[in-house]
Amino acid sequence: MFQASKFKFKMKKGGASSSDDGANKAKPFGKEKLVLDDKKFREIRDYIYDKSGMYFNDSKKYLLENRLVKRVESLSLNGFDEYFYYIRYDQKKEKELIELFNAITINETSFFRNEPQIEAYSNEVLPEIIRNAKAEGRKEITIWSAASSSGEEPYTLAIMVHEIQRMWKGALTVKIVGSDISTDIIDQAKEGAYNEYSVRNIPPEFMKKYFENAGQKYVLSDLIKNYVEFVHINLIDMNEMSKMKGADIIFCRNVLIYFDTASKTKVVSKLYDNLNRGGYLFIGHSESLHGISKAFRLVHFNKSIAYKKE
Amino acid sequence: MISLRSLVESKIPEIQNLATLPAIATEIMSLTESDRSSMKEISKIIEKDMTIASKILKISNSPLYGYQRKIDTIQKALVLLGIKEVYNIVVGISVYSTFVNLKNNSDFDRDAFWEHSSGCGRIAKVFAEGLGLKFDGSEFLSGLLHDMGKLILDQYFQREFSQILHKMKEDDISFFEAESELFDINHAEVGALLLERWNVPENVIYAVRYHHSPELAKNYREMTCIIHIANELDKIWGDVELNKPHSFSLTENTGWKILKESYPSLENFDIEKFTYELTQEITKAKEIITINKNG
Repeated sequence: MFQASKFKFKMKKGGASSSDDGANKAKPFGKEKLVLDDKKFREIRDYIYDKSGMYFNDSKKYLLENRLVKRVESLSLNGFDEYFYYIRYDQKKEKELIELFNAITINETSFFRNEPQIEAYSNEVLPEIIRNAKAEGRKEITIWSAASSSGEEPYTLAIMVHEIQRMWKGALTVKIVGSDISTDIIDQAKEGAYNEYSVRNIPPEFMKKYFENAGQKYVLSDLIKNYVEFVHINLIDMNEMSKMKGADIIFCRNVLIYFDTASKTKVVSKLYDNLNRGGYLFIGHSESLHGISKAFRLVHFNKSIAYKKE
Repeated sequence: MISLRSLVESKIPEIQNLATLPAIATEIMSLTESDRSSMKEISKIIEKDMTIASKILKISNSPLYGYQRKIDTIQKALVLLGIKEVYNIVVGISVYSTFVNLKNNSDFDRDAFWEHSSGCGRIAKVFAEGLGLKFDGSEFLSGLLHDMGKLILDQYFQREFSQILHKMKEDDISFFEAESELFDINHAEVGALLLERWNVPENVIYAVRYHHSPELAKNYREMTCIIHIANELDKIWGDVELNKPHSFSLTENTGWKILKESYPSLENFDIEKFTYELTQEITKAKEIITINKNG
């Protein structure tokens, strides 16, 4: 049997929880430094989990604290107690929740975002899908990046597909679709030109192979760009969603947090419908479908999880 | 099949003299088990052992625990980290230091071994907490000791141990599968034979003996299942390199199925949340082993 070479990407700072500033201490601002005590941290953490499905374990306290400080500051509130009251009871609480989710997922768009998930995709999921598709005599597999933003995610998925082309070339076509609600961002994605920040996690050998340096920008090669097709889709529009049937792998990271429980349930059940049997769904690296769907089987890979449709 | 069992059995008394659970661990355990222990008593015991005491302070002050003020006394550590956490660290350090000087078969990565053992213990702890089950710390001890048999084989039966490692690589199978094919005893049983002679709770012996086959445990089945699951979870989430599983699914696991029979409400267990909790335990386990090693 063909043995795929294992991809191991360099982790930035320690372990599975490779967040950009996870280990940073809260920085003082103004005259007095805000301190998030353990009890308030747990209350806010649980509230966020309840509202968004995104979980911050104790070791991510500083990450959350850093982001919350910015929110408290911009609303000119007096500390975390007031802020916690604000997001639950203020007239503008809905708007603030969106701001909060933006703050906690900021910097989430870059190539090779969350290496363990990309490793699980490249080393386990993709080879499994390819093997099964070949065994079933299928001619095509489909990978869908649902909320592809400026294209970093679908292009990352495409790079890895290209890297293991020995496994599928000649037998299958691999279709990669990136979808987003914003047509502006889709146009940007099609251009495939990125700044230093977006490409910071790309392993050097891939950087050399697939990017060209044009002044301040890094331009992705057509070889990879040609794998990806971009379409406009609003995830809560069930008619538009129905166009996406027959996916084998779906990435839908850090999107569901913005929906309330009812919409989330609807979207996830549609994602389930759109997956082929044996297909996988990836959500954000600290997101959860608990209480949203029981249809999938949760599968653990090395330092990440995914949901399988059986 | 070669009979290794009788050889192991005859060697156990001798092994017992060389490797035994450190006094401080037994002492601490007996204190926390009986509810009358005060923080003062516990810190007194720990402070008697300078090496362990200084390591605890070092670990408590590591960024992992995130305390901004310096923790400079064992009492403070007990208050901030909690008795259970300090107890686990003491047991971990003392077991580690007992075995750290044993001879090493060159193919066997001891650092990885201890990271996995300590990771397994910590996962067992958060798992039991998540399920609302109380084992007074013996779930941590079981996790820590679950692969003790491998150390014994590596130390006293090197030829057989090498044969197992060789077969693992040759046939691309797990340690447990390889030893089960080669010999009439496995590392879980070897570990349990030694632990029977130690002063550890009976449930620890069961959990160690049946950690690969929880369905065979006649008693203490719940804890055995927890160790079985924690073992698999640490293999997939930790940095174990040798014979790493490709994937793991809790709901397909024998231990999980047994637990679900007794606790149907596990249907609603938040696996994701538990998973995100266990990642920090694995990081802690690794950090503690590093601090331990570097003194």
